[in-house]
Amino acid sequence: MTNKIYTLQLILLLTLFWIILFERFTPIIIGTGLCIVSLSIWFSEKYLMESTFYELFPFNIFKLLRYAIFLVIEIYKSGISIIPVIFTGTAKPGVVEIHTELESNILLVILCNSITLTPGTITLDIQGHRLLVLWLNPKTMQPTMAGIYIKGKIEQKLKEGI
Amino acid sequence: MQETIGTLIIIIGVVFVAIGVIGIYRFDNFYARALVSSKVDTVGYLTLMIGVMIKNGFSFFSLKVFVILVITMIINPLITHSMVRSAHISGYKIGKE
Repeated sequence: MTNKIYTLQLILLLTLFWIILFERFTPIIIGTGLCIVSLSIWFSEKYLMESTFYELFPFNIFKLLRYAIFLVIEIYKSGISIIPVIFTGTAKPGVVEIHTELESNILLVILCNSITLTPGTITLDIQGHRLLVLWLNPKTMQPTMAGIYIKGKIEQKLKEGI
Repeated sequence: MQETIGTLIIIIGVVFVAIGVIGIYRFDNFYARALVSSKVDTVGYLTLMIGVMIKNGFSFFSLKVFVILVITMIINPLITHSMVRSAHISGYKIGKE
């Protein structure tokens, strides 16, 4: 994905947001939307940010959509698996330390947020490649195995690109 | 037909929220409550909003609900994380007090 396609995708996405806020699909709204979106992207890249959007938040809308669908399925899976714990009332939360191999900041943020979104695990802290995770009924305290249980599939998906 | 499916999904969402609320009252420890209550605002909220979107069909209202859903899904984990992290730093014990 090159810089130009990325900028085009950003402009289209933000114009869609503009149209949704105006609730009208007329040429005037689309035209003003395109102008203001291009202007604001140019302005923030030139004056407000140290680098471009492409370097800071690289994403592909189709891959992001695929990841969102995968994440929703994961949320429902762990949400259903937590129901027996609520009715039996047996919870012994524990703090587990896991390691991740992801490099860029944006991927780390998405990983931590995904872990917190799935019911049953909450990210407490992050230092470099070390994550502290609060886990309802920990199956194991060992970092490698706990990592596979908590973030196995999510990290795999994130490595494929976003 | 569409409205019936939407209503059914909303009912499922309310059931998820109810289970989450039962969970909050069932545990007496802060961390277990925080973990269980995330069920209310992720699974329950997601199901409710999908139900509302299906009930209204494809319109600007549904798109706005979708935008709110996406923004909530980004902000929600940040709030949970900051609350639990501050409890952890200020020295809450995990076991029974």
